[in-house]
Amino acid sequence: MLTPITIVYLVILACVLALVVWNLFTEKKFTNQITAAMVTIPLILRLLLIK
Amino acid sequence: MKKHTITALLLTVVVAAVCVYSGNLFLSLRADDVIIPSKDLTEVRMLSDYLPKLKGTRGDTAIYIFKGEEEGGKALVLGGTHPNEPSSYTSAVILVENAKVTVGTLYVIPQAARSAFTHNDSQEASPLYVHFENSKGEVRKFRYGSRAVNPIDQWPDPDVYEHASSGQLLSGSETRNLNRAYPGREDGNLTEQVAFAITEMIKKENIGLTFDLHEASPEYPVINATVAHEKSMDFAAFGLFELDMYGIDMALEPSPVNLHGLTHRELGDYTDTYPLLMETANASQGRLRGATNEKLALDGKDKFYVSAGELGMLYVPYDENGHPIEERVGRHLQGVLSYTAAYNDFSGTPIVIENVPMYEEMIAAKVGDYLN
Amino acid sequence: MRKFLSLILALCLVFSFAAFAQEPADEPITFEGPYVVTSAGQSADYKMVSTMLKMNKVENYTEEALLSPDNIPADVKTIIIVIGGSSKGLGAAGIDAEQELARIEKLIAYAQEKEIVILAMHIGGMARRGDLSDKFIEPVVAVSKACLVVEDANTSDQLFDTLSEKYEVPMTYFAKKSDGAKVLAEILK
Repeated sequence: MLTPITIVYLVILACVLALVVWNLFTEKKFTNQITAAMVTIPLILRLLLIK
Repeated sequence: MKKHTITALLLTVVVAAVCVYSGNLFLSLRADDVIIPSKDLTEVRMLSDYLPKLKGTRGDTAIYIFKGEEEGGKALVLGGTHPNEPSSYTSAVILVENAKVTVGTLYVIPQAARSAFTHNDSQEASPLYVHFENSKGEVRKFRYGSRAVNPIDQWPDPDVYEHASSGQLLSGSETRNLNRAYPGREDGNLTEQVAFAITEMIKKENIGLTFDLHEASPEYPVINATVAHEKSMDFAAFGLFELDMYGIDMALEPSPVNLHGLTHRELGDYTDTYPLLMETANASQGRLRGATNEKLALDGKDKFYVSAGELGMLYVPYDENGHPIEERVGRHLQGVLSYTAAYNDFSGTPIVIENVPMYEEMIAAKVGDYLN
Repeated sequence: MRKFLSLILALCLVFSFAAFAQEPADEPITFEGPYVVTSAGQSADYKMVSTMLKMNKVENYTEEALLSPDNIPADVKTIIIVIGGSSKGLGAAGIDAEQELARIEKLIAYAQEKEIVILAMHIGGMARRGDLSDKFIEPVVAVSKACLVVEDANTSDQLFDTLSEKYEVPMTYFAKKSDGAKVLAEILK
């Protein structure tokens, strides 16, 4: 059951995820792209309420 | 297409692959373990029968009931209060898969904190499963789980957890610890609701004797021990004598009156049951452990604990033989049998449990030998 | 006259032998009730000792985890102090180890003043050794008439052997807790 605070949390999470993905695609340096890619993994799993 | 866009797309594919793989692993933990009850099982209820709002949540869990032909007392065994203490859950499963009750009634909840079976503790490198081969050569698989309820099911943790009925303050993560939530709250969080439902069940069914099975790291002072509410002390001391004669070295510890939320305190205070909590030694949850894997969870062999034992830093003897799951399960099962026998003399409302392996039988066999 | 003196000396010799015969050096130590059982360290091992007394059908005993001069039964002849520290037990009693030690010292002083005999017991084995438990061992053993110990507690460092020698307190070792009932049956009158 999603409580109101969980919904707010997930919205914030979605925003952060969107920014990281935007960063992944605009970043020129490959190592920074890898970092962004790694950061997205836990964010996606949490957004989908898997982990 | 620009070079960095190509690399971003490639990384997106990698991320998707990792998410699918790890997501499947995490989701697989939500599938319930298979428990194959003994033919003498008389009924299965759900915890939501005692608190309907638990229905459909991962707080709801099965209650296996063995009713004897003769009326008598009633006992409850709680396994899996902390799933990452595998001898607790395994002992409860062995009871469900073997027990026959001739007098009185036995209730077994193998997965008291069912939600806590659906994830692992972060950064502990715990195994996902433990496996046992039964006498037919089939492999039985049980989840290893976590100490606390899954944050997916109960979120967020407060900075400080305030125990509802006492006002006791604990660290925020303890808010998902079932054994800090008793007697629970009907309108509380999921953990408190589970605790409330178990308390309600004890009251409604008039359960006289309650066991809560646990494990602890070898460096924890209360280990190879039974913690008893003051009202359980007299018969527990008799039960301990029997355990000693079976070669089980067990300490008897009084339940602190000012440590709240635990079964051995709150179930004794808030219900008429006589609660006992038993602890065995589990290296896989200790801080001194080496490689954390299924092998360690099952055989308890760890060279670092052997060294710590030689230095006198542990509260249990520790040598190269470790503390295998058979020994730990044997202690729990013999504890249930011996304390129940002592309770029978004390209360005059007997519970007779048959067909459960005793300590000597368990240490001479494999856990799988007692799984269906 | 010399014959008379010789006769007197011979009789003295005979009587002195008889006196020695009546009090052999290795007469078993015994304790007399009423008994009171208490803990030093607040482990529940004292409950086990009470259970041993019940099993031996001893009726003239009471138990009090926090025994002190204020609540000691008036007619008590032997205090059985069961040594073993327990953090959970101290928590249950709402005291710390230092307060527990102070209580024990006060109780010992009272017992010595009233000439009440102390029987020390340590039945917890290695599980009741270590920093917390060890601080209660020497003060109790030092003033005891005898000490009964599960031998495992003495194996690693021979602490009880050392204390036995230092304070001339006879030790009786037994293998398991459950053997304690038999040992107690032999020494309680």
